Amino acid sequence: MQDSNRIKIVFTGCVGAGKSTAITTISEKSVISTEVKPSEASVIKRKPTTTVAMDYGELTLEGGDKLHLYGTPGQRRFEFMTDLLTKGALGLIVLIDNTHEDPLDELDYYLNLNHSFLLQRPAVIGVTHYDQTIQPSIDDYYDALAERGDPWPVVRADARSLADVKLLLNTLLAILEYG
Amino acid sequence: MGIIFLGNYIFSNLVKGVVEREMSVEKLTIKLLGFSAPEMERFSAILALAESRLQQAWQMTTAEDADFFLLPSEQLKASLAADISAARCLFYTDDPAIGNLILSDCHKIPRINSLINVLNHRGAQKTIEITANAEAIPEPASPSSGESAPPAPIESQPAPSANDQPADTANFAPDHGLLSALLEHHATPILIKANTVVICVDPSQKLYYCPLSLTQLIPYFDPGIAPQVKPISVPEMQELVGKAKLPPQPLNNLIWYITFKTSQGRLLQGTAPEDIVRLLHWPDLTIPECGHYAKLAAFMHSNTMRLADIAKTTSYPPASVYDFYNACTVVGMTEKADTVQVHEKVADLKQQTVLRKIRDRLKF
Repeated sequence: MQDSNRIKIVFTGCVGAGKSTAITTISEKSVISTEVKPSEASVIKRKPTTTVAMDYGELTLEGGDKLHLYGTPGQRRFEFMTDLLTKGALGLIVLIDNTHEDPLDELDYYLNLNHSFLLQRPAVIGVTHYDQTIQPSIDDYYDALAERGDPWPVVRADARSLADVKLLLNTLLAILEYG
Repeated sequence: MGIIFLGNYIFSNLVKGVVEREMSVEKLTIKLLGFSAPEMERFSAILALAESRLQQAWQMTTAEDADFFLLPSEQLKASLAADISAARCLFYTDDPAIGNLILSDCHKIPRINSLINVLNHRGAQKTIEITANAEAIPEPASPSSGESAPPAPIESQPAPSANDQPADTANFAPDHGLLSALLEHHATPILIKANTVVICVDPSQKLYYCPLSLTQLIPYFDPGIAPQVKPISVPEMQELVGKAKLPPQPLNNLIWYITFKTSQGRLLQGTAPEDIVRLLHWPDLTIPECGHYAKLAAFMHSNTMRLADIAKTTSYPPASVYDFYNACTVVGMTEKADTVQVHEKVADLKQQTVLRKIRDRLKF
């Protein structure tokens, strides 16, 4: 996982945003997950189990290459994993649960956490659970990004939907190619 | 299926066939062969919208003895060899070289006027043929009067005027139909009735409510439909959408999609291919078909360039670039600039190969 020559994309974001689900949705083999009962009070409220080290899935590419998909742990005490996982990655998918108490604050947190990485590589913001609440709106996300000076696209996504996860990845590829 | 249209070229060659069976003048039936369920559903919706302007009643049928058969052009040969009279066949074709477009690109907006023109033309011919056949057979004399009753005149509605719809001009003007109604400034919520569909719009929240999805709304995008607009109060709106349990949808997505579908490769009025533009915000890539423009969006977001050059650089067809640009512009996502600013990317062949492989794997 620390091999920077690996072709990899990292899913990050808050607890319950759907990182593990998204990787499970797109991965062609069983996802390796390190889910346990959470210890942080804020996480206990939201999920019965959560990722403590990482999630891992993969896709086989032409010629036998692998696209490695990593999901970072949601609990903030494991944030040290982020640097390890993003090293050498093509880009970042930041998933934000729109039903979170303060989704825009979460967005800010994860963009700050990955600030160094995002100076070199792109991100796509995936907003999940948007069907449950439309506040903040997608425009609010863009306003928050504009305040930061970040150009990343914001995409509504259902982590259980293959089409939506593909759209997130394809958007990331589009930025890598044309952005 | 790519472009849908029914050309008089094919049509004029087919009408030479012999009418082999009696057909009802009052109601003509049409059976679609070789089309998918969504395509049939869309055709049904178009036909329903056209109903009031058709001179005969047309009805879709699944019966084998339909008056007319509608087929994809790929089936031309096969269908002519089959046991269906050519005179009863109408074709969809994706050959743009054939003129007399009646239904334009199905990825855009179906043209009701075109459908009306062709069906009225074809229906009128049938009427003449049947009337001529009827006149050729002597009516039995009435035993009471000794005179035959004059044939009842067939009532026909006036053909739709060319002025009913905006002319196809070189530029796209969002000043007709549903799009125009949505773009007008409204201080309060409004109800828009376009044919049979009702859309509730909350301009202040930039939301709309409708039981139909964006793709189901396509037939109502026709610029020839004059929607009725009725202002309502906020409590009325809340009661209405609450009763119907309609979820709120982003109004800009509806406006974006109508513009995208109705532009049909024409550049927005007031814009020229030489204009230098850039994309300020990304459109909602979850809008139907919008996801296919992620690369174009990424490019236009990072570069300020002439519209004509964007098409050349990205390999998107100019018509697609214009449709995308129009849609983004109408919802305020673009701006014009005085100077070109190109973000030069260092070519990384290894990365290009990796990206291609991933894209191929994702089948996107």
